[in-house]
Amino acid sequence: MRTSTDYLKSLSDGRTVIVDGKPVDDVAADPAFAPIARTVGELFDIAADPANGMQVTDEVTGNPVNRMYVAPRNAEDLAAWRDSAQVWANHTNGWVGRSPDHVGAFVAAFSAHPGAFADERGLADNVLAFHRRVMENDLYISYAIIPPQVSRATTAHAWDGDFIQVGVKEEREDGIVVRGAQMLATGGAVADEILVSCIKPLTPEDTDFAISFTVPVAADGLKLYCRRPYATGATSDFDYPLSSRYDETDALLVFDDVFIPWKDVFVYKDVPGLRKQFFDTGAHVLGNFQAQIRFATKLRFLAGIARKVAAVNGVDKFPGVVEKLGELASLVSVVESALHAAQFTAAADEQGFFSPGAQSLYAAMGLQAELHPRVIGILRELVGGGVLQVPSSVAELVNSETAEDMERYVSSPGITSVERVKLFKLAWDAVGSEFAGRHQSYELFYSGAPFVVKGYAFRNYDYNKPLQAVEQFLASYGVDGPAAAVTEEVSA
Amino acid sequence: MTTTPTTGSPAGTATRLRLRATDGAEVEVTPTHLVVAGYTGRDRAAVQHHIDELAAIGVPEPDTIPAFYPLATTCLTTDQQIEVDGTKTSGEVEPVLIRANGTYYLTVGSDHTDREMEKVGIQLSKAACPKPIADTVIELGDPPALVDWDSIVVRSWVDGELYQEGTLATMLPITEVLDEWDQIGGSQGIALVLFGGTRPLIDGTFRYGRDWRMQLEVPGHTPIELSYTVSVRSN
Repeated sequence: MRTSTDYLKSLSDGRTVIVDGKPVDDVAADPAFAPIARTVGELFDIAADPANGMQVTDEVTGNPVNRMYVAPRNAEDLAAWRDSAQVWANHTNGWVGRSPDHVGAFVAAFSAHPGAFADERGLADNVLAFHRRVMENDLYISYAIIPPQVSRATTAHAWDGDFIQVGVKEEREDGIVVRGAQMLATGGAVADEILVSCIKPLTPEDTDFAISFTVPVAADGLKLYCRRPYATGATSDFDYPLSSRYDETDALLVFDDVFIPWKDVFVYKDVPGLRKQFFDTGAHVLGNFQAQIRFATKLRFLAGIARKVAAVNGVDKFPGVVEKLGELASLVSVVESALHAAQFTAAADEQGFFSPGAQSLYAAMGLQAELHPRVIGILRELVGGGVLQVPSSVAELVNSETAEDMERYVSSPGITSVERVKLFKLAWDAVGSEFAGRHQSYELFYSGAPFVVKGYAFRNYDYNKPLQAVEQFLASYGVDGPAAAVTEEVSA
Repeated sequence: MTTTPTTGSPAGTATRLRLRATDGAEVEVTPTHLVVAGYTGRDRAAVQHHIDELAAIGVPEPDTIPAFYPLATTCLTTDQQIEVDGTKTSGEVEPVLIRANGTYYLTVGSDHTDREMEKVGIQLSKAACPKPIADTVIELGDPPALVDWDSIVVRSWVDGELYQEGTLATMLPITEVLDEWDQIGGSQGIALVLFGGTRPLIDGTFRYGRDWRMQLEVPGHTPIELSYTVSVRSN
């Protein structure tokens, strides 16, 4: 299977990733992208080691493949799939939102439901072949499935100027030419390919934009405009332990007449087809099952920081602090419990795809925009001013002129100044740095705006049962009931 | 080339297929007719385009689209070994519909074909080789209920390497192919085995291997498998 060496080497392919107005020479060597590339490479190394239990035999080729790229078919498959997702999530402590298993899960589910892509062009076969390519080569696929934020009041066809949102400019016998932009390719700068589509509902007038395709990041005419990278702002691993490892970077994709061969097209000028690919295949459920495994892991890590800070500050016996830690435990457990419930209620669909229970999964997702800020808020309270009294950098801890002051004034009982500063620097990178700020927004909009995600929760909850309970209750009494008598008794 | 059904195998040499349904029930079929369909692509324009391409290199146009090639039922076999005369023969994975015993069954077969003879005549090339089918079938009932044709995936391997893989979504559902055949041949009420056409090769090049494996994966069912070995008859 693919190793970090293979992966890192493959990134030097002439891709156009723009930072500060000009293309980056080589993302694998650039200080903004090398750290996340290294982290993703480590994930591939973990998967490539059979001892980590992430491999499964591809029945078609007989070769070992990453289990995350294979759709679960029964309860045992799903349990092993979840365990594998956990292995990767543990390695990043949940801080990498678009690790290769996220879109990998979407592609796995696509392959279990190729009929959802069926048309006379053979797009269903393209999906199968894409899945095979991803699985056999351990590809890292990111995605860009949200239109640029030009106007939320209208859809693509109504925007000034042709092809603001990426659309079909030209149809050829051998493929299509696309032009326009799409966001938000998290991890795109260090991915192999990007799945480009639109999860936002479109109207029948938007047919030219109703497409789904994959594109190599190095494709001619494709530019990635990255937001400001945070890894380059990290003065050291010690000062910014999270920014310096896990900054995925997000990017706006701009397609300047990019040719996409038919084999890489999965939905073509098909507005209902866009919805079908995500929601009729189980892809949205499986991909977000992975996302919640990752999210729970991150919340657990944040709770761990809080618990350690409380101990170091010697406040962990204070009733108010215990209450906060208790609330954190509840918040983390809500997501973990939703995952258990989604696994417990999982079932095979008509295609034999073993899908996690949607009600429990979307319940956790529906609360993500509340849970994350609340966990960060509690952690922020518990670390207090401790994150502001840390020295400017690790230099003060090692410089002989300053180290003594640090040891005397910035330490706690039973813990050295280095250990204390290290912990509070980590806490700051989780709650206060620019990286932390980006994560707050990222988790808030992870699966779409909160109203969109709560819409999923609404649609995947069977309201018939609660409605029936209320209807039955209401029908059990009327205006002539004994209520008046009860009132008299009480007031007597 | 003909589209007229043959009269079946001569008396006394009837092929009897002992099969097993996916639920374990034994199924015995004595087919009276074997028909291999070709040009079963759903996109008629693309099929015509392919026919025009072949015509340009001298392959005669079929009389009908889809085309039908009736063969002797003695070609059918569930044996795991087949013998052929030519050295350039290859398999092709196909869905196979069986109409018999008042019901319909779906299974997988290989339209094993002599590629040298194909240049002389398609009918001849097909008749030159046995037609292996799996010994497991999915009972579809009557009328036949295809769960989700577009999601059915077929695969073939030659000498352990993947040779074909894809859905049946670009092909006419085999029940529609049967309707076309019934309109032409009027072969209602007989025990028919129909090969429903194949799909392109992964790398577009024929291979003449020894060990063939075919698979038909119907969503929600255990995949149906067929494996056979080819040997060249020594004279």
